[in-house]
Formats: sequence, C-alpha cells, structure tokens
Amino acid sequence: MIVPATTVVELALVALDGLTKMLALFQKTGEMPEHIDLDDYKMKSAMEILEEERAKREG
Amino acid sequence: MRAKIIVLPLLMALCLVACAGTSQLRYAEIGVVGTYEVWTAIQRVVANAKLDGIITDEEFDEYVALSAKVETAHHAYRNAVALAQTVSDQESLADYLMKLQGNKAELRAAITAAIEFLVDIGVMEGSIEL
Repeated sequence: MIVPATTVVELALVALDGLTKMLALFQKTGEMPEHIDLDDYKMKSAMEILEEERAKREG
Repeated sequence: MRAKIIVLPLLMALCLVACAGTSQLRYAEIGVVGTYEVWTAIQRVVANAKLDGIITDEEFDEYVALSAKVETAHHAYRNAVALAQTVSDQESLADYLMKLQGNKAELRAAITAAIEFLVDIGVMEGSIEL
C-alpha cells in the first residue's frame, strides 16, 4: 500500500506530539485539561529555524 | 538527506485519540499542535540540508516562500481554534467548528505545496510503502 507523504502529514496533524502533550498534561494534573494552551504553538519562520540550527552547530 | 516519517505509530496514536471519544474541538487543538510539531521538524530537516550544502540557495529561497505560506495558514488556523475555545454554547461552537474547515483546507493546501516542492528537490520522499 502506498501512502502519499501529504496523507502522512495529515495523520500527523491529529496525532504525534499533540497526543503526547495531552497525555503529559493528564498525568500531571490527574484529569484531562479542558483546553490545550495554543500560545505555546506559534510557528517560527524558516529563517529563524535556520539560525537556530546554525547556532546548534556552532555550539 | 531524506526525511522519513514513521507511519505506524501515527496510526496507533490516531486510533487512541478516536477511542478516547475526542471532541471535535479537541481534535482541532491536536491538529494545531501536531502541525506545529511536524512542520517545525521538517523546517529543521531543510535547514540542515541548507547548512550541509545539499540544496541550493535558489531552492532554499523557494522553500522559505512556501514555508511562509504554511506559517501564515497555521497562524490563522491556530487563532480560529483559540477563538472556538472561548465559545460556551454548543450551537455557536458548531458554527465555529464548521468555519474551521476552511482554515484547515488552506493549511493543508499550503503544506501540500511545500511538501511537493521538497519532494521535487529530493529532501523528502514522495510516498511511503506500508
């Protein structure tokens, strides 16, 4: 079965670290939080990420 | 450099979410977080390809433009979901969730265009065999 890369990314939309985050919150508080705080998920620009990766290499 | 995404754990996670009786709003919240994490990971792959000289300056410039569209679409989607979080009555929430579909479609289109480009220049694989 061949799955297009875009489909994989769409699956990742609903899973991956979103689920991890939810479970981490659940474990921490003992109950499912009403909402996930979306302020923590503001995307950085490609150039910002490039600079971060460059800085990592330069130590 | 090729970015390989592991499919099976994602499918398992998706099943877990479905089994947990996740609400549509929660589904959208996870969409915001998941897209952020995945796109940031892809950005790091491309950034390292650039630093390693695997992609040209022209290819990187094109990618930066496509990535900016993803970032803009994600910003709109995230704001729309955040707005839906503030709604208390179910009828209004249903309206907000309906409108979210447009934001999601724009985000998906932006991601698709960017990934197609990354596939073309050989940074990502175009398909994955299960």
